[in-house]
Amino acid sequence: MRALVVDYGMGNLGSLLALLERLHHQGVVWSHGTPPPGYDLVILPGVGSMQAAFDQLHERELLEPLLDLHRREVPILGICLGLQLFFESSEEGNGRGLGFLPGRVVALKANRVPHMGWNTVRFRAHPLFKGLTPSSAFYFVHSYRVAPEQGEIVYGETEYEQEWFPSVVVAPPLVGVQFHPELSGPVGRQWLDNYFREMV
Amino acid sequence: MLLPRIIPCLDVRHGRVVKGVRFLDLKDSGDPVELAAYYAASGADEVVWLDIVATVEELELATDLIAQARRRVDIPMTIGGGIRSLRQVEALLEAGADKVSINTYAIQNPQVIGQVAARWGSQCMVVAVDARREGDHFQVYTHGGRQRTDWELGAWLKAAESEGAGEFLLTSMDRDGTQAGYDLPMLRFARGLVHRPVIASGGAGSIDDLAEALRDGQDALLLASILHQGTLTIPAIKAELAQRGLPVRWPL
Repeated sequence: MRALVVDYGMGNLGSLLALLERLHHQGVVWSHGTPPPGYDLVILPGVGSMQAAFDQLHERELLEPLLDLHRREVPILGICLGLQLFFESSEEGNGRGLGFLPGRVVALKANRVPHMGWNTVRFRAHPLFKGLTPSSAFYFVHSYRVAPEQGEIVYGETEYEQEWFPSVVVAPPLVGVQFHPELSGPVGRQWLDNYFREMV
Repeated sequence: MLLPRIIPCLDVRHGRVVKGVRFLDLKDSGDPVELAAYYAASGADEVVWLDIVATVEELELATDLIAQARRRVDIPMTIGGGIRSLRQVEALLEAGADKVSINTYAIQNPQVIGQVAARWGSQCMVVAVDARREGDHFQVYTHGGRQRTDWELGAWLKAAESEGAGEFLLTSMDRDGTQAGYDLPMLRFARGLVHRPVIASGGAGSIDDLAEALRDGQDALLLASILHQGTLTIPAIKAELAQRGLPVRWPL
């Protein structure tokens, strides 16, 4: 399949493009304005702050095209900051999101942030988790978490310092993950393969 | 729950692994790309790649190798060694590094920490610190441990944290290379002071040392000479830690 990978200056895309290649999909970098023609889905990656992300999307004239793609129900996969951007606003510097889903982005309560490293996901039965177990670990790096208004879109949760937060959100054609499948070894590869098979 | 990280360190000079891993069944164990890919596939939780990138030629060589490694390494990579400018940071991140580690230059010019954090996010700004015990406290050194600074360890950690450090890589000069175990009092002191992840470095010589550090509350352990000798591998280490009831990412 052909995935548009949004490049808005929030983290490098090398690991994601390499993983797409290993899965025999084509990653097309989209950095400015009108989307390149011919695509099956959009991947919105990124790490960092939502405020900076929104400004970058605006500056690179990616905001309107993204809203348009969403209106046309093109599948969008949000990774880390990409998941957070699905929501309306962030308490981090009054950052704005794309507003695809009702809810906010709030700071983790943890004493030690970022939440950095490998952690497991308590997931609801869904083909996205085929071949994975409750002990399958993914790589996380973030200091904020999503707080969706609709609990039913949360398909996976993760615990850090006694706080449970949504790590997988499924609201077709939107899917978002707080972890980084592209940095999560064989488990991340399996998850992304499931995503392509089941959700696109 | 968050699992502890076991992090092998590659020492690279002019495109070759120094203190190489002699006993591994690799095509070329002196090739850092081969070695990084091997570590990732065999269960490392991250890789730290220490290189010297001071000159234009060194930076070009390093970025070329990192770009090659990125195609094969599906876990996070931290790159550090001799970074002295934002331009070098940008080149390394663009080549595929997830984080950069800065030591001497951060002490000389602490605002670089905030500049990297503001531009690329604090999560990619690892401040590396070398320290040794002096009487009742720990003192920070730079230039690979050759130069004493005026910084007491705690004061520097707090200053770097407030500048925007996202993580610390803390090496005990007293223990580095000794294989006598991590400097747990120093690590405990550091973790108690800052609200950022701390990678423990210096002194790992046996699985007992790793288990002791994990039981003491450390959650990210750098491995150097313990792997270079070829007597222990990451699968053997992780299997043994799991057997002892310690939570690790194993099996993958």
